[in-house]
Amino acid sequence: MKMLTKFESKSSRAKGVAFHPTRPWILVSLHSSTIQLWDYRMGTLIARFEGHEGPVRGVDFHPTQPIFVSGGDDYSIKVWSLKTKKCLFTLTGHLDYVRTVFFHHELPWIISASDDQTIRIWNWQSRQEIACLTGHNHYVMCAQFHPTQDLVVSASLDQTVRVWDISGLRKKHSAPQGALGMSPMGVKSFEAQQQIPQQDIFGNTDAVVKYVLEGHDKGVNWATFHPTLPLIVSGGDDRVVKVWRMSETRAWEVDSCRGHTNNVPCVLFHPTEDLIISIGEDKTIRTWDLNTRTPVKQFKRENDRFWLIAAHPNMNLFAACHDSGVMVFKLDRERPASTLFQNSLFFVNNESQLQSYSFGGKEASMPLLSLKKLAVPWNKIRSISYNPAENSILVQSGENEAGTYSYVPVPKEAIGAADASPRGQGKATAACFIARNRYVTFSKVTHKLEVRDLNDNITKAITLDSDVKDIVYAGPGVILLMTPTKVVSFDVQQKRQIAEIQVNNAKYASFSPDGKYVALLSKHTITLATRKLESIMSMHETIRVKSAAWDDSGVLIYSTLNHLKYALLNGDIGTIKTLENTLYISKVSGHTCFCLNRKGSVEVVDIDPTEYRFKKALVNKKFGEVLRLIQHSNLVGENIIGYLEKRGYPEIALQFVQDPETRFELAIECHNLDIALEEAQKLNKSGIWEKLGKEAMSQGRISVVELAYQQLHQLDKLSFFYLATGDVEKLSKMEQIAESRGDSSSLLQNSIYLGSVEKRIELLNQAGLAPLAYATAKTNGLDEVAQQILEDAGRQSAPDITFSVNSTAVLQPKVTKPIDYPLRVASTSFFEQALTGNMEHLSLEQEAEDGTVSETVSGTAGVEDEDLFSDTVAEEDEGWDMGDDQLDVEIEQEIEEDKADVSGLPGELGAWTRNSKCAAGYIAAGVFEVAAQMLNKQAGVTNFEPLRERFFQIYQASKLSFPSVDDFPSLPAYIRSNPDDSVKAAPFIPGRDQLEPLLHEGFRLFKTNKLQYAVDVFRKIIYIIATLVVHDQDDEEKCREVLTLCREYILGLSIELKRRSLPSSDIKRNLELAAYFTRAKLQPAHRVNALQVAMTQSFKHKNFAMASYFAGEFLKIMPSGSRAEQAKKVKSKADLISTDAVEIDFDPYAEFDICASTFTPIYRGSPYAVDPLTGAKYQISEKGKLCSITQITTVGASASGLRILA
Amino acid sequence: MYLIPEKELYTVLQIFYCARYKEMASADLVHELEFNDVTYQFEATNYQIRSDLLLANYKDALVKINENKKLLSGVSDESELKFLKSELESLLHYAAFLQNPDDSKAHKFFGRDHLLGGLTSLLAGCYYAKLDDYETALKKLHPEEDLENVAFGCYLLLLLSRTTEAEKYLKKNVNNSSAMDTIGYNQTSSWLELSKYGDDLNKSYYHYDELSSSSNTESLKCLVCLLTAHLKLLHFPEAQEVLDRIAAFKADHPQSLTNWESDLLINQIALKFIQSKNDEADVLLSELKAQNPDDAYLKDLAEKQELFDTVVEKYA
Repeated sequence: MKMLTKFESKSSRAKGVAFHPTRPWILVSLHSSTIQLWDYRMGTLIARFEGHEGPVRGVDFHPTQPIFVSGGDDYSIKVWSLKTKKCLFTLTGHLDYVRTVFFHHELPWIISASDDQTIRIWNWQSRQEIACLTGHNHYVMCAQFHPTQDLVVSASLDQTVRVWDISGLRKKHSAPQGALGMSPMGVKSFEAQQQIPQQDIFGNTDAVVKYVLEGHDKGVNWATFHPTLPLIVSGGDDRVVKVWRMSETRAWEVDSCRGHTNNVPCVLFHPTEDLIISIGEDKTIRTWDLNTRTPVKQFKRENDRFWLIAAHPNMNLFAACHDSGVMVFKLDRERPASTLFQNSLFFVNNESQLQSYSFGGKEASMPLLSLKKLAVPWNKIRSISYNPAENSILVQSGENEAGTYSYVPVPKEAIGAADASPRGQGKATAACFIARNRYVTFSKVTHKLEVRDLNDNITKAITLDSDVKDIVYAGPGVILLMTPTKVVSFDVQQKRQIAEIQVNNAKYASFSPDGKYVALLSKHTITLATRKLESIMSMHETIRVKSAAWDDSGVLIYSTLNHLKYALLNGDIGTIKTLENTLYISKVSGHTCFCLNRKGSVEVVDIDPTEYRFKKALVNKKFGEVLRLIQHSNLVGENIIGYLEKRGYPEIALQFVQDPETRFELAIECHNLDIALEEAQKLNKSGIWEKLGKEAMSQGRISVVELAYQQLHQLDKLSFFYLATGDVEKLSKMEQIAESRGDSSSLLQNSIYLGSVEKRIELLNQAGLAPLAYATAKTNGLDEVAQQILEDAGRQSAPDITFSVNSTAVLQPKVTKPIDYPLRVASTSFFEQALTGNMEHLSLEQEAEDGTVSETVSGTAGVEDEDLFSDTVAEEDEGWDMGDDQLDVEIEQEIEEDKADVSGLPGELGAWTRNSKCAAGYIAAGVFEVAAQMLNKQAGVTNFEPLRERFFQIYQASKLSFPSVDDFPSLPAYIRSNPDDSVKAAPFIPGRDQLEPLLHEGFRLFKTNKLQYAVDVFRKIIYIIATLVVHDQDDEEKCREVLTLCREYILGLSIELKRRSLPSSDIKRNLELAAYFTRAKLQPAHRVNALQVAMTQSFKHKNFAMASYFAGEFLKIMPSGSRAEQAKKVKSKADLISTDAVEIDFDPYAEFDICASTFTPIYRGSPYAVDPLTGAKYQISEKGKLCSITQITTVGASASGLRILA
Repeated sequence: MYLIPEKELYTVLQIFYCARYKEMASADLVHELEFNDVTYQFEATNYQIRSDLLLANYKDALVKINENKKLLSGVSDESELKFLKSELESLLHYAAFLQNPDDSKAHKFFGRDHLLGGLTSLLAGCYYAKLDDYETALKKLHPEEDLENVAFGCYLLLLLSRTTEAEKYLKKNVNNSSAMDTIGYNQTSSWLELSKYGDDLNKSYYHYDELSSSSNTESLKCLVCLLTAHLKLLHFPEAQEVLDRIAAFKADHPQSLTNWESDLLINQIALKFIQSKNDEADVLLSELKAQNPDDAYLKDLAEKQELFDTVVEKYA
């Protein structure tokens, strides 16, 4: 048994608690007079009710009405409204503290117990006391109605428990039909009952004591009926829990449960299990076996005394009040154990029986087995794992040390729930099959993972990290290790970690049907990852996550406490439906979601997958599917419209919207002027027309612009619009309108646009601007009109006005055909075309998976960009050194040609060549020509004979053969670099693990003075690296470092070998080579040898200055020891003379390289050639010769550089 | 139609499929297994005959064929009798063909359009496969009638590197759960799985691990397959352990068949090259050349050597 805490509140001492029958609410009454209403699912305080004075000890929700009752130390009982959050009325009558208050399950009654030694029954509808039960001669601590019968049980500090018969009261006060508080009939009947005269409030004729139960040695704090059996349980200050049995005629004590070390303020029966749960001031919650009255388990709180416990009327939940608040918990999990196999589900029902369910037939089998005996007492079966090969299951039950596993055969046919006979059993907190003939058991106590065969023998034992809490099956031979901070994929056979992901407290894992993805479920988080535990996305859920399963199309469907939801790999989530009860999803297939409920049976929930399929199709750019869904389903709602807008698909959202305003906005967003215009006409608002005009103007749809300006009465704009479009006719109309409106300014404007001089002169004249009218007439050559103006003005002579000779009249608008002039092309999207029925030119080929843009699409975009910026691109290219890249291209092309030749290869080898970017892949596939070509182009390899052994090592290392049908050829098999089928096929290339040992071997040979052997080993390393494949850049970098190291060693050793082969007479060359040897970039421990040779030789041949230099270099590396002493001596002696007898070509202070062939210095600035593989330098004269370092490459060959990274 | 083997037939199948042909051929079936059905005895004896053929004990095979003929007198059902007779006849022709590949009667028999009985079509398939006519062999098989036909069809497709097709072939022809429980099905699917990677490969590993961990089913053939699985899974230390087990098995069973020695050597060579023990690999290669100079692996290597020579020449 396990206590699973679901909610905890912090407050002052809590004295009373009650569960709401349907909603996730609890009332908590505090010692401080406050009553709190909590949502225990969300963990939020919904309301506080203030009204009582002093502690409130009892609270209770009405079973059906939105009211609750409370009673406190202010002697009052208050009835509150949950809607208004206010006290509806107060019932007064008690003369001392009210200890408990409860509603009747059926009648409109409240029962209260008080320190005034009475129990009172009230009618909350008439707000009157209808009975007062007297008899107790001390405080009555508790009084409750029987859940079905007309009985009351009370507990008192007078050390008795009393059972009262209230059938008389019912007869007197309630209608025979019952359900008084609920049916109109009942209310009516009750009204009728009101006519009956009230009894004396102290008269007990309506409620008589049936039994007085004596047995407690001290005051009794609590007594309650069993929900179905004729039992009572009580708890008292004598620290004892007592069980009483009743018959029709008598009641007697059955047994006592002893264990509490302080007063027992409250006790109750478990609503469904044969359990008693008591709480104590000893800070414990204890559970007792009802049948044996023996303790089952106790849970202790450090500092808080418990005061009250309440059970949820319908669910497996309990709430306990204590000194610092309240806690809601359940005892044991409610998740039925289950496991899937192909098209069926094996699950354990609430009777601990194994059943199977066929998804095809939607039918559950009869019980196959009873697992009751395999379950740890008072613990549900935690998990089952099915082995189809053996038709057997692994059952795990119990926690920690008590955890057990059992390996049980399953009968082929349901012949009733026979007891399971296990073939293997033992201690474990988790167990699952990992193969048809192996299962693993794990104990989080011992941290041992044991692999067992079907005889239950351990074949392997692995000690896991102490933070591993659970294991989950993750494919043959692989399990997930669940730790508080991460989930690790673990290969059981290899005892090695494959991958890990940081996830906090993941408890469950659900793999997609194709095994590519996994959902890791924590309490409030879902993490989606690849099978290799590469995180894809993570999301938080406020409500606890309960289960998840992937549907056929790769969408995760998950359940929270009260919802079915979905999650796409791109992070989109949504709600599918609200659940009345918590469900655990087992499988999702199309429209059907198969779930297990807490009653241990399968529930089939119909779901509508359209929304998530639509979103998935949209995300994956499966436009055909999107279209199909739009046309054939009812996708509506703000949610989907918002989603489409957010995702940048307003044109699709448009298909779902009816509301003109939203349609208009969406149409504008997707530049659909036709729909926008249609909606604008419906809406006919200035703001709408403005937007439309603006959009139409940007698109150059002048007809719409004109309409918008017309609708907006923007006459100036309209005039200018006609001027711009050359529509003289309409411009004239505008002039007329201006005239009729008496708008001089507009008229002037229009007359200018139209070039109607007479009109303008007339207007100016009318406006009293005769000089301006005269000037206008004069400048436009209308001398007669000008004269008339003069005359009208009474002027005899013309004013002195100078006119420019070059002045011309304002040009009149050029009459053109008013056509649209597209400023911005608003092309129709795929959907718009499709939705308008234009499917001819649409290709669905541009669909791409997982949100990746298809090649066609990106290719087109690329071409467009290139066209737009073609000049720039050309300039940039010139600025780049494209040498290498161009070479690469050449090689790729040539290889492409060769690939055509390898099409005849068996599937696997063909795949290797397709996926290989390195020569080694082709070698392994046996396509030696292409491999050689690659090595030649990349690294200038021309002499292949030394690579023969390596080629065949690679080729043969990946070829296997296994027997199948005897007397016929065996089947070939191939070793890949990664046996995981989700990775691209590539061959296993041997040799990487040999690099380090070979390097050490080379060093050893160097140390032991076997120089030629050492050279051979370093060269072998070069051959391996040249034909290797590595999988990350670090590794590649390391290989390149090793390559350089080998080059330097071969160079140095070759120089030294050459020096040793010289005739003793050739002193100069001897000294030079000894000096050059020191320039090889050897490891310091080895360089001292070179320096020592150079120092000794120089000293020996009286080149003291050189000897002093080499001795100095030597001492820098090795400042102490016998060899250092010798060097010091040499240096001191050489320094005394400090001259060189033989002049050699070696300047210790100059920077130079040594030609690997001629062993002569290549000073900076001198021309040189390079070995393309190792970078060894050569005198330019050596170009074209075989590299003496590698003996396989040509010096100075043009090459793109060796590629070994996969 | 698939037989759901009775206990005694199950034992026979287990021994046959685990390639313990010597054991099978020498077993006193009638006394050891006490058949309660003459058809089962007939079928079991057929397996014995096939074991003899695989061991090239043609005379023994002939004796058993004659014994089986006698059993036919106990079969009253006319159609069943026809069926069994055809199977026996096919065994006779196949045996003749193995002894004399130019046997014209066999050619005539297996070349017929209508072949009655699962074993008959299987042997017809084998006959054409022996002649390297794999397409005809595939056509001759009746996978809908018999699991062994399915197995052989799958094998041929795998041999032709048509793995996906083989997979479909198996799925299409075996779709009931009782057939899926049989050792024959497991064997066939393990070939497929061993040709693949990922979970399938893991499954095949566990299959061979299971077979080789029980004395009832352990055989050199299973161990070689287990070795292959380990190598494909990159379980190199475990592969070495299997090699040790193979050595021990050989020591314990000196009379065991050597049919799978070539496969063993090829796999060992791969492991040696993986371990960069090239010299040891060369020794094993010499051993293979000595034991089975006509092995396809060697032919392929020789071709590759020639190819390499041309490469050397080309760039020299």
